[in-house]
Amino acid sequence: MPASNVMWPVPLQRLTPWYPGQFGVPGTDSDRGLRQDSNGKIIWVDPNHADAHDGKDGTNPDSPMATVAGALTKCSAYSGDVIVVAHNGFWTYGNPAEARYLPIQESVIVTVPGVRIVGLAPPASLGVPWVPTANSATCITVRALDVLIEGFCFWNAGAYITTTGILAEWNAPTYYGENVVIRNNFFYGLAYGIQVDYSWNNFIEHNSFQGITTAAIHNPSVYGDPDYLTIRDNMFTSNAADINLPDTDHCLIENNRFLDVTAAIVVLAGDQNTIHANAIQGNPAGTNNYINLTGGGNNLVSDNWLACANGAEYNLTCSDSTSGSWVSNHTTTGDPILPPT
Amino acid sequence: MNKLAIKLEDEELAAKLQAAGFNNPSQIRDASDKELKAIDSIGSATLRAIRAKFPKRG
Repeated sequence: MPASNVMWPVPLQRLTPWYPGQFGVPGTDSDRGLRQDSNGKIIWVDPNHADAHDGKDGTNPDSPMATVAGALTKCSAYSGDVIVVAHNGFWTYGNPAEARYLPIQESVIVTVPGVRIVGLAPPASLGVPWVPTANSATCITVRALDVLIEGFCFWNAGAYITTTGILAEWNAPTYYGENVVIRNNFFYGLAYGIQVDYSWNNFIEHNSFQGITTAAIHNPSVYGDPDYLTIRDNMFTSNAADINLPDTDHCLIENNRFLDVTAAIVVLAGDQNTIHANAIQGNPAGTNNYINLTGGGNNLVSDNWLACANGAEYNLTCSDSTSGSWVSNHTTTGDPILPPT
Repeated sequence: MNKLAIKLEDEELAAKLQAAGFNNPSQIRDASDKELKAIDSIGSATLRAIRAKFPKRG
């Protein structure tokens, strides 16, 4: 069971003690078991547990599995399975002498649709630390539909280059990583926080991206454009680039906060996107560092708060005049009437 | 409707491209005009329509 100061990031039901075990689902007859679906099971991962081993079935928190990769082999498509990953203290400003210091350090590929991978972190935490394994490594690659990833702190502990926190890729009939929900995570010091490749209808919500060295949310374009994304309520701080999604259409980018930006929202040649109610702070004398929609059309840019003056600074930090409708955006000296030139 | 057809807004054209092995936007962006025009019934006008959606990369 989680400690008294640990809260669940998703609602989970405790089995009542008189609930009978479910045939074929190991662990469901345990009064300490938890599950969220009538058929699903909770699979515990805790590499810091003395008895952690991938040979176990993982359904008992007192007898967890050692790796997320091992837990994924226990999951079935759309059965409501949840992989719950216990917390560890492996953080760049943490105390190495503390117990439970071993991080999740894996590159996993999710091929089972409908799986939830949840970090079970203390309430004040950034999330359960998960670090890359090598240069060019990706912590989680999603190649199945309807996967949820929540509650992790993906950070670049080994100073590896070209690392990625999460990659979702769709290229049927090989990869089907789409409809992914990525929420309540922290991304720190990686080359890329989240990459989405031809992967549509993903929800990227309530995450924080800090010190990302290439782009926080990025379209690698190996296969194609990640359309129909919803990106909202995220915080971007001091990244080399924040949202970089060339050729992407029909996205909602809403209610995000951008601090100390170099390139906040760049959707070159993207059409029919809505960029609404974001707050962007950075160098007001930068070139296209706030919102850059050059080459796109029929976009709506509305009610955004821009840390620049109307006029020359607005025209310098944002582009461009043919990208769509720019409505009721706000600068330090009033609301511009026209799109930026 | 498949994704390529949605992007091109043309189901028939998407089917022709996919039959020729161009299954995603990046493959089309990376293809030369000559390669695309080698597909049966894709002429200059259709090529222009394709390039309007997927400009040649690099």
